[in-house]
Amino acid sequence: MNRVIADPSKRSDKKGRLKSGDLFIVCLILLAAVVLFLLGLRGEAAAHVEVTVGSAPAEAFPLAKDGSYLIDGHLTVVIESGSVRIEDADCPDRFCVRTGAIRSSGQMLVCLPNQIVVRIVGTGETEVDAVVY
Amino acid sequence: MSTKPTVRRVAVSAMFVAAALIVSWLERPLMAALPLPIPGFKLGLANVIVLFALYRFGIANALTVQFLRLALGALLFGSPISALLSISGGTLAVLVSCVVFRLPHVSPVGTSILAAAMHMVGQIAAAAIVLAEPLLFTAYLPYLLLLSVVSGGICGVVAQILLTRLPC
Repeated sequence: MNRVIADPSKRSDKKGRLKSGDLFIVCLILLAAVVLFLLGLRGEAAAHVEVTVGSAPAEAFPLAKDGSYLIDGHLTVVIESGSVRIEDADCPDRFCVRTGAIRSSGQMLVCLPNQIVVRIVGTGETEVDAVVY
Repeated sequence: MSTKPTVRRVAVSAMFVAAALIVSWLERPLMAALPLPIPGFKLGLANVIVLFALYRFGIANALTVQFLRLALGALLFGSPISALLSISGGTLAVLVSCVVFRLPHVSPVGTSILAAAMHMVGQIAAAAIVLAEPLLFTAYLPYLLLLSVVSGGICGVVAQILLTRLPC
């Protein structure tokens, strides 16, 4: 191994010389960081209420904002202080109304005759690990 | 760049492994003592040695030094989990380095930065698999990637200095 030790008078042997490829690498990494960060923002949306009617695409409502929404003309979903409940359902046994309020992601209210499912979706903290019906 | 497995080469490689182990062992308390905003931030200085081996002695040598120092480091220090993470990260880092270092317009600094980034990716991937939590990628990796540019850059500069000044 007869490598010549660096000659300080030669510019190319100065320490830490950067090349254009290096800049490209850094930019690539920074870009990846930004992209991943943005992807995280989307999934990180505040917990929201998702209502599905049959197989139609879900409608979403923010959990943080109080409000009541008439779903498909059959029942009213009421969001109040971070909890969700169903009121005024026109189904025979009104099971969905009797279920009461749900607060954490993973919980859901179901009105079977009307094929309406109200669930809480989001990265909010859950008190239980799983719920089995 | 000769790659003959001379006795001298074997001895030097063994020293590299030993040096890498010592450096990575000393690094932790050293970094902890510094007033850094991020606790647990490591420069990964052992990678300087592997990078040096790569540029000076070639791919086979660098792979050998890296895998030996990862394996011994895992056995000597830390828990099975930390061993899994560092082996995942270190393996990906060295493999990518071997591919990239010969590209035109890439210097040891660039190679080192990319290796550091890949090290983070490998670690996060392993953690995400173990914890079954893909959110780790978006929650932690962006910040780790930013840090890797710094740590990789520093390691690359140190490696560059060694490459120009050490005759071995």
